[in-house]
Amino acid sequence: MVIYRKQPGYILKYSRYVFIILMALIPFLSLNKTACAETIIQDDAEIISSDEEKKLQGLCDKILKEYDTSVYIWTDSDISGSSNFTYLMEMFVATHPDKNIIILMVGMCPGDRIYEVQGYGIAEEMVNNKRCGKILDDMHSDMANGNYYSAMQIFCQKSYTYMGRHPRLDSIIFSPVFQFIICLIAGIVPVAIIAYNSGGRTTVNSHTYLDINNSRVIGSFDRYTHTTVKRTAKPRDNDSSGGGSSGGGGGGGSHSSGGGRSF
Amino acid sequence: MVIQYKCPGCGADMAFNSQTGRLHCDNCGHSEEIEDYKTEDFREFEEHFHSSTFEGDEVNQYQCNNCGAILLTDKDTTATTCSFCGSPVILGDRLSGALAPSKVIPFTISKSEAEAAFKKWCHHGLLMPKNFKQADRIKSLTGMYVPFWLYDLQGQGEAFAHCTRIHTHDEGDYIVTRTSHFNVYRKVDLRYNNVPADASEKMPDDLMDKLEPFDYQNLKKFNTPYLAGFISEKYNYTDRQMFPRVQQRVTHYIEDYISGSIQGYSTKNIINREYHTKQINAEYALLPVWMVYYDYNNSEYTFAMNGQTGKIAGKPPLSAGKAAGGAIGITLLLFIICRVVTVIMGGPLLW
Repeated sequence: MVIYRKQPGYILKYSRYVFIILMALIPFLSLNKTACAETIIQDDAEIISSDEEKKLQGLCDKILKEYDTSVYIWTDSDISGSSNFTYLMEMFVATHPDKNIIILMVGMCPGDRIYEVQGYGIAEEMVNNKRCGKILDDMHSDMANGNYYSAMQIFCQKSYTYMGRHPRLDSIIFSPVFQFIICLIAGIVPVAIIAYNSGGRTTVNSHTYLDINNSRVIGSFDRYTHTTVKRTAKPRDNDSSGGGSSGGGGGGGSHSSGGGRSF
Repeated sequence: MVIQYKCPGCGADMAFNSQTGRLHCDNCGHSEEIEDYKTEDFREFEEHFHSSTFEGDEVNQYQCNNCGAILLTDKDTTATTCSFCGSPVILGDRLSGALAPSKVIPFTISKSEAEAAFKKWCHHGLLMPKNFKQADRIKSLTGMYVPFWLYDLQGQGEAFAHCTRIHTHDEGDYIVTRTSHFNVYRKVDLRYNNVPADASEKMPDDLMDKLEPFDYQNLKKFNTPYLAGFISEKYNYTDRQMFPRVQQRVTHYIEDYISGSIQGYSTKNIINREYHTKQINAEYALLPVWMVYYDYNNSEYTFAMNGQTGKIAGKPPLSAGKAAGGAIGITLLLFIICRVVTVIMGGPLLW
């Protein structure tokens, strides 16, 4: 009996502390997960319907799930001026705790419509300047025609593709078409050589009949005349095509950028 | 004048044996050294035949000493076999005077070896049609001494070239390319020995060129017994007539030599050249060639085999299917490897 009375007392006493400790840990354990990845579609300019927003949310969640990268889509009808625009994007990102972010921002200010893609964290590497520019270019016709939802779909799909493929694979040597052409040449050339040589090869050369003991150079000179110097600028090893530029500083930290497009 | 070699032992016909390099009697096995053999004396004979034998397209009639049959020869034949009794015969009048060969490389590959070598060659032909590869339609295999001129030549050449040495280095944001320019001159004096040129009008030049090189270690002083049992022809073109062909060839050799003597430059461009080729000597030599006539698909294909080294020349039929299959096969194999490497590096399998 004595034992029965004592045991619940001990359990209750220690349970209280354990509960407090667990409760104190919860924010760290759970927030760490949720704060690092989320999808935000903030359509302040109201250019897509709520149905479309839901569909985009699904696409973005795929990126979130597979690559632990948040996707923000923010539209606004008041922002104008490209420097303002970029600054606001960086600020927008800075106000969110996520590290890995791809953001598309569309400014619908009449007469100064602009859209831009930026990548932060892992996305800065995976969706680099060149790829940001490529996404902007791919979206351009839909943006210009007012098919904002289609354009945003392209943004999501391309972002998803790029997140799963390292930028070094953008090199032409990994292009299937290029590889196939090279392989085709490598396939045809040896066969052509075999066909050409099928009738027997000429195996004598200029030394076959040369009498080395009685052959020599009897006169020669090598006169230096002049030197020409040519300077060429080093090719820059960057990915800035499409007007991309590496962002930095400000409130948004280091990021990749497509350079923005007006439409 | 018809020369036939009879075995002193049994009286049968003797022929040159490519294995032993001796005159051999198949009947009793007796053989004789050819180098010790007495050279035929054509002088008396030449006095009679000189005017009639070497002019025009006239075909002389020869009679086999063995069976008395008329020998079927054309105007260029110098050695053949009697089509009636099969006895090897040598037409001495066509091997005398100006037409007397001074050198010969005897056959070292026998008929059976030639046939085996040809079959092996066909078998290894990657693009040849399957039926052709079986090599079972050899129409004829003829051992033939082909007339060649072997030229000793002096080649002299002078050339002026513009050469450059290029160095590049980095200077800040720039790549600096320094190109040093040189005027280069070379004068060479070269000797070429035994450059061959086929002097028979029947033999395609390109085919004969591809049979080279012959091994001149085995170049012997000509003697008629070497021809016994083989077909042989006399030359159609004199060394003077053939000279432009060999000159053109040696001109390339001189250019190669000069180009090879200009070393240590990044680029070289010969801007002015002058080459002279002078004939020092030309010897009339008979070189051994197996001619293979092959029937395939209603066409006759001609191949030539170096009777000393076994090297084969001649255009075989090619299978378009095999060529396409080979090219596609290699392409696909390489493409698969490329894609696998791409996937390993994190790329997509196809797109």
